[in-house]
Amino acid sequence: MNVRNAELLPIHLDGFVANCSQYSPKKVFKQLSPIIRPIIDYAPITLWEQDTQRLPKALGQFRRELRSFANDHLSPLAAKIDTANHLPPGEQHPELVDLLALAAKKGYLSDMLPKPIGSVPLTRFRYPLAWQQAIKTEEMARSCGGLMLLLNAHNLGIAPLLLSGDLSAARKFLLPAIKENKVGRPHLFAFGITEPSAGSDVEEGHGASLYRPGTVAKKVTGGWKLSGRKCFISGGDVAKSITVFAALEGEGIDSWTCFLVKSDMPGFNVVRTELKMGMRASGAAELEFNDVFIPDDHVIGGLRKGWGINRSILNLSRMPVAAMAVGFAQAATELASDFACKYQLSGKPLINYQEIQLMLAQMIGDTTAIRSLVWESAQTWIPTQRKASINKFFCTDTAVGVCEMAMELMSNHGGLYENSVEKAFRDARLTQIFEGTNQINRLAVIEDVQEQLLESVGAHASGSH
Amino acid sequence: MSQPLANEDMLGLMNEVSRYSERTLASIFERPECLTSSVCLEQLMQDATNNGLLNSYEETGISLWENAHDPLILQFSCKALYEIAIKNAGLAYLFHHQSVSYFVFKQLGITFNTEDVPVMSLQGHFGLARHSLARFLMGKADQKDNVILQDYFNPQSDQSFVFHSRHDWTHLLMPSFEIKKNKQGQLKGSIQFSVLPRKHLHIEVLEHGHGLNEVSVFLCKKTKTLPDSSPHSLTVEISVALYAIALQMQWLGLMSIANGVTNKALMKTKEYAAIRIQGGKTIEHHPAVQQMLSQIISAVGCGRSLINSICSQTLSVDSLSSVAQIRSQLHPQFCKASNNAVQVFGGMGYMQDVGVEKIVRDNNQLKLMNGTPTELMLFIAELECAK
Repeated sequence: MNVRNAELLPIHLDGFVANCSQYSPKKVFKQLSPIIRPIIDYAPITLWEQDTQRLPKALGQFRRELRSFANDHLSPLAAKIDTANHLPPGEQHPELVDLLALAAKKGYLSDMLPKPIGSVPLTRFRYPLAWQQAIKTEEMARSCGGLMLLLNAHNLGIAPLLLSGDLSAARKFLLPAIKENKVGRPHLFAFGITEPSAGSDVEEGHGASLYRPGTVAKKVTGGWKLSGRKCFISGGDVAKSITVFAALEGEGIDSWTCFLVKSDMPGFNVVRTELKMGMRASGAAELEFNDVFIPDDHVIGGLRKGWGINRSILNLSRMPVAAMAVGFAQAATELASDFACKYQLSGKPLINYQEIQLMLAQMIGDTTAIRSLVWESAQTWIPTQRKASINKFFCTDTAVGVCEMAMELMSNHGGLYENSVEKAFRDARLTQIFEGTNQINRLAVIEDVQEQLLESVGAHASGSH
Repeated sequence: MSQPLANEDMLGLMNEVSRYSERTLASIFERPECLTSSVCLEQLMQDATNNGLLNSYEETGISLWENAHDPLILQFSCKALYEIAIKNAGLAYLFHHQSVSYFVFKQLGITFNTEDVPVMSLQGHFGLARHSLARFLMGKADQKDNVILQDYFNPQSDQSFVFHSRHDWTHLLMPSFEIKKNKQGQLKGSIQFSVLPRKHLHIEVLEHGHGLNEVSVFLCKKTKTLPDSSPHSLTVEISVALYAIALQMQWLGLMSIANGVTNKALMKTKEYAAIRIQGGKTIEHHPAVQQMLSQIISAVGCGRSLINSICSQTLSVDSLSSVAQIRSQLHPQFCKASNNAVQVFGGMGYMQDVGVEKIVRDNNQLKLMNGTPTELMLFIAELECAK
């Protein structure tokens, strides 16, 4: 900053004293005893920097690297892809093809495993995967929800190979895909559970126990014939491999089995991709299976193990949804802050007005709180159902509220596409729905603590409480 | 001035609007994911003008916002917009905007050629000018308020008005704020209206907006080289009364449209909840869904009652606070209700072809126009303190 620019800067906002004032904490802290000053006085750094510094070194470095990647490669594409024409299944915007190749080369499509198999340095892999993924999805979502989903739905697709404990399947399907990804030839996976007549039923036990499965596998010589449909499959239109959950013929959802379906298998068809409210860079595909022959060795984790694999994946996959919500809240807060500092009413930037300051403070507070919750909860290798669900519904509800407030701060400019915050809202809105609606996630908390609650019920009934 | 409307006349008119909505509009707007062409929208506006529904110079019958002093006309306007919004909120807004514009033109005695398409932009460049607009309308503006209002209505050349309108307008009526000395030598501000031909304005048409996809969004800059726009000089009292009434018509229209479109969300949601099965039973029987359905039902019901109650009075400066109060409470509820509708639909709710996500966007947009709930809070407090 040159001297002239510095002279033009205001020294305080309306309603506040300048940092050089005798009433400013920044000034008076420096005048306190040197004995106490080290625990009271602090350097003025940005919130982002403050958060990054409190991460372990390897994760802080990862966060900086991601911010730079997202700023350079996602942000410039975000508006263009969001407003681009909806393409039929099988077609992809050329920029997305390039982005996927670049992300693959950089290791973002193989970062569920450590080097040398995957792309994660061992220094970073010391920390839980949930934490790493939380940092990644937040930074990417901050730039663009659709592009974030395009690059991250893949991890959900490979999760059954990792969480089934099926080493043979992992060796056979995952390792070659990772090799392709690392050299910049994207091999994407997708995760297929939702069916046209079952969204919530495949996300919770009571519903599942009463649901008649729509995608069914019939035993034939040497394998299985898969029939049915899956819908709203993120990245299902561009995936080469799809982990599909299907019931065995004549049985209920408790027979769910995970099958590895290749997109070039005869009988497999991407029927359509949905026109979505937001996250438009990532396709939500309807997949059709017309007697698709699946060889026996494409069963992942064993017959009738699918329900267990699915539930364990939900405990892992709900955390990144909470983290992406943090990214949307962060984006909305930054956009609102930038607008408030730039846009003037009566010759003053809006940030001088108290009602604007109050809204911005609320947004910063909410975003900081949900990030803290996610980072605290993600510091474990064993994600519990209750923690995953609490994070999911609380962070996503809060983030949508932050986006709404950001639009309101911008007033009659809040709905303008050019100000980007309406896009953050549209993107964030999906997080309240996928990986189980927030209503299902609330009930998942109760399901997880059912034992304790029943004990309490029992104690009350027997009068021993 | 039209004849006072009788109750039975209003019932007859409302039946006509309902028939028009069902017979004409329902099929045009049945695919929410498809954008209706501007040609089709123009034709609908022309038909509505010919049929006397839209306020115009023709004395063809009772039209929307034809006057502010007949409670039945206010009720008719709100109910008709509600009904049309059930089919499409964007079209309802276009009808509303044209009719309020013509109400103001008539009050000012401005006429146009038949080929002209005049519209109005009532709002200054940001919100409701904090406290200042309220203080001005209550006759309590001080010098600080005058400075803010001058900037609000006559911004510097680098700042733009945002306004939503039909795409093919030719003339824009804009308020400006003028400060003059009164007979006692005090500086007094007043709102004056100027009509500016489109070709003399620096206009940017925005391709994408958050909601109301049928309505075009414009950024308009007042350039310093404007020709003499022949402002229609009004006394402070008349300009205050006219602005206050037009602002309330605008608010009532936005609320009615939001109320109607939220009712559409309710109808869709009820229908879906009655057939969608989860956990072995239709979701309408799950408390999680019932909570959301109830909120939608309450928002629609309260909206209808409150809007109807406000229409039992005539509009004036005195009614500003009560209309603002209702608006500040209703829009957040309508937004919450449409979000709840999406949530009941689950993944389907996020898809454009189902139509409820559009209702969320439309409701968000309606909430942001002409004063957000936060801005209305300041406005109401200032009005009440000034009493």
